[in-house]
Amino acid sequence: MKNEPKTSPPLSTAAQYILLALASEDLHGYGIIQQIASQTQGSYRVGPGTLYDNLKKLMDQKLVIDAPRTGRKDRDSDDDRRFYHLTTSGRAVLSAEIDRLQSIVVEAQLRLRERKPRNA
Amino acid sequence: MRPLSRIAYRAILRLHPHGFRAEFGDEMLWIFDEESRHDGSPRLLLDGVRSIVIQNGRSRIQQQPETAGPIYCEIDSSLPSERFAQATLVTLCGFLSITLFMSMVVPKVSVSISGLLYTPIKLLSSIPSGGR
Repeated sequence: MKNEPKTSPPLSTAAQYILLALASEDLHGYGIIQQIASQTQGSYRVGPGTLYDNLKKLMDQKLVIDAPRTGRKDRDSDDDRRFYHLTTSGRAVLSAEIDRLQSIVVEAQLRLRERKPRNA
Repeated sequence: MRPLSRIAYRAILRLHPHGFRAEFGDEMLWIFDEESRHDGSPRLLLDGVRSIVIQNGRSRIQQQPETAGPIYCEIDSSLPSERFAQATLVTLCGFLSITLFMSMVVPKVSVSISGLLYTPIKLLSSIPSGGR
């Protein structure tokens, strides 16, 4: 189980943002879209087709599940809409993905600093 | 403009595979309604079209027959009546086209054929009636 996140393939951009949006709280579909828009200052907007295509894949992999009604916040407890919840394995996959991205950033920064001008 | 784009989006949703539409169709329409208030609907319509392609492609891949071993493979053995009807229609059209082409290219053949057709009629008409 511990090795699962390391062997899983890199996530798509939309899947990364969906998992990130669900990391702090359970959200419904439109809530996820709003959360992504807020995280990216509106530079990346996910359409409903892209959202549910990725959500279906994540649900098939058991990384996201339907949120239980009891676990919702008071303001959402009467809401009939479907809420989504990040599972423990989903959190682990997200964590592994962030580590992977971080290593890329570190490597990129290192290479950019090392790069010498051609005519030096 | 908004109701028209909503109708278009509903049509797009109808083109999705049944399972996907039953699970997420209502939510997608709700999000479309919410998003189209603030944002332009063309982006959402394009997103919907892209989703049709992806979902239908995926459902076709998932519908491939499962093999239970290296030899055994279960296939649908029911008669494809639509395909038989299409094949008959195509064969008939092809035959008629070839016949028409041949009658134009080789006129003598068609004349001789018509001659052959008329010969038995002439023979029959030349037979005297038995009563007289």
